[in-house]
Amino acid sequence: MASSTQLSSATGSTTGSATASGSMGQDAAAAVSPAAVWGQRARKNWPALLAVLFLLAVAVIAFVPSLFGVADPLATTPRDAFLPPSRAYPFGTDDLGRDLLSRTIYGARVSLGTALAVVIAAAAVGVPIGLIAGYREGLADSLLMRSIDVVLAFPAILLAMGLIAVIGTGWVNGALAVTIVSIPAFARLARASVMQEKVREYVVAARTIGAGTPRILFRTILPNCLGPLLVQAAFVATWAILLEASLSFLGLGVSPPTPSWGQMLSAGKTNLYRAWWYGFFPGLALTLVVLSLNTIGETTQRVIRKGWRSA
Amino acid sequence: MGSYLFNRLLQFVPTLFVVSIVVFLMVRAIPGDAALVLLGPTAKPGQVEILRQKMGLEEPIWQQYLIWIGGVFRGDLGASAINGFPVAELIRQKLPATVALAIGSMFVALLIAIPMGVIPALRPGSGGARVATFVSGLLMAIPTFWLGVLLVLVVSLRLKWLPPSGYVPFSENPLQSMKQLILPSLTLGAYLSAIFARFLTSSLADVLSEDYVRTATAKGLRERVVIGRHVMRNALIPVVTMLGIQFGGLLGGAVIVEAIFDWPGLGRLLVTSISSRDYAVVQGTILLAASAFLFVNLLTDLTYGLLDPRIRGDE
Repeated sequence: MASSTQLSSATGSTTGSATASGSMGQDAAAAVSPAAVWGQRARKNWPALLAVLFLLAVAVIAFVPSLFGVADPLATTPRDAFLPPSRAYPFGTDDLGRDLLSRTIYGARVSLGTALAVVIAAAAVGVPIGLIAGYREGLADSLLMRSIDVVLAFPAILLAMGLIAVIGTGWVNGALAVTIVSIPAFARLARASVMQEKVREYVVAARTIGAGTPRILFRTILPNCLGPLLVQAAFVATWAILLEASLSFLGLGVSPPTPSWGQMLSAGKTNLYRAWWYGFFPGLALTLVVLSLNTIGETTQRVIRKGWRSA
Repeated sequence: MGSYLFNRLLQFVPTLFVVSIVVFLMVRAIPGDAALVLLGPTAKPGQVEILRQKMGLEEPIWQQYLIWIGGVFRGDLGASAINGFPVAELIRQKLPATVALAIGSMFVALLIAIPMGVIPALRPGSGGARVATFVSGLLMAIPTFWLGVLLVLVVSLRLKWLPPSGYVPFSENPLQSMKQLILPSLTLGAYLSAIFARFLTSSLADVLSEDYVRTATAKGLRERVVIGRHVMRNALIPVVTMLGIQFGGLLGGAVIVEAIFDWPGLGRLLVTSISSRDYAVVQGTILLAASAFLFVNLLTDLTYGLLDPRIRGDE
């Protein structure tokens, strides 16, 4: 119930159209060299390419900061407190004289780490639920989907906050709460995809030769539903990053002094009169990462819908 | 219509029931004696004993639930562990600020969304359409808290047009109250406006291709009249129902916006009560928000059924 479209950007509508148009364009594409095809695709989808490169760069810098000589994000220099952006401190410094550039870089660890953890965990729980519910129908379907509906009956951030009230704050608990509210996004999509796929010949054929249910679900059907699920993963990642930042912003997420964008934005808001740069740069980083993930998700969705060859 | 209404209500009641069970179990899931959890560490032994009796903690869990839900129906949501005020009273105090914010942001969202959605539909490919599409894309991507911080930086601190935070009830000082409402509403309404605009564009495109629009144009009505009288009214129906669907996002966004602007609403109440482990308040606030969310969803579906006979399926 709750016709909520909280996460429905990628629904079942994208399923299964890739295979049909894929084989048709094959001959036409074979005439041109693969490099030319790639170049053409890259030019056409340059925003997505740029987004991928940007995210890769952010991830590399954030997880191997020593390669780039990033300053210690926890080192305080009280006499350098509240310095505006300069050559020494490109993003300025905070109330304790910490380098905001390196804090923003380290903050990416929390955001990207949460996104990765939430997507993996939510998919690991949600996809099997959806697959089984869609394949079995009947009682299993009702029971599984009704429990998913319970999650959807709450506004997501409020449910996450309620869970945190019970299990406590911190990165792991925050990620767990975000994971729980993200499970329906995968479960519903997987269910819709399975219901569409299970009547097709290849599934019937697999069943005829005696394949067991787990094998049919995970080896036969799942690979054919992967496209829409990957798109959904990009959107869930976006949403996980935003939810984590919201929780940290409210003081319910990652605990200080670990740098996180939400918490830096919150501290920046308190010191807005004194230092505009304090909240500005973490917010910019957050916006760019969210924008990149959205672009990747939307482009992938379009490519799947139109077929790989014509993309 | 009768059976549609009945079926939809039949769905609503059990969901509400399950939600109440989840909220009820929330406090029981916290380790320790439930009465002690609700009263907090400063409770006196006598108080704990009285509350234990009242909650029926010696009884089986389903009876405890009945006692609790019975209290909820009488407006008894327990008392705050911090200041001893009844939770219902605390919620009643904070509700007006959140309602004002919700109305303000819905208003702002529609105000921005209508031009931003109409231009790309009527003049596709024009410069104005590109600007509108770009702006709505931007508004969709900017996280609420960053937009709020930017607005305060530019509009309040640099231009000094509007106060950066605070809340005055409308009844006390209408002008000041409106001034203070603008920035929070803009922050919360921005994302919604982008969603509405995209939705309005596609729904306008659908309506514009209808026969009756061609008829209206063919009989010589000016474009302004065709759009105003025939197109807009029908195109807005799905957008209005979108208002309902986005209500959950609005509630969540309100929590953030209230934190940015020191807005004394339910969101602030929830955040402070989570931080201070004031579980009775957490429980009451979440129960109220989730019920409101479900209720608005119900209303949305019913309105939709009312407006579009195909959905109620009674032909």
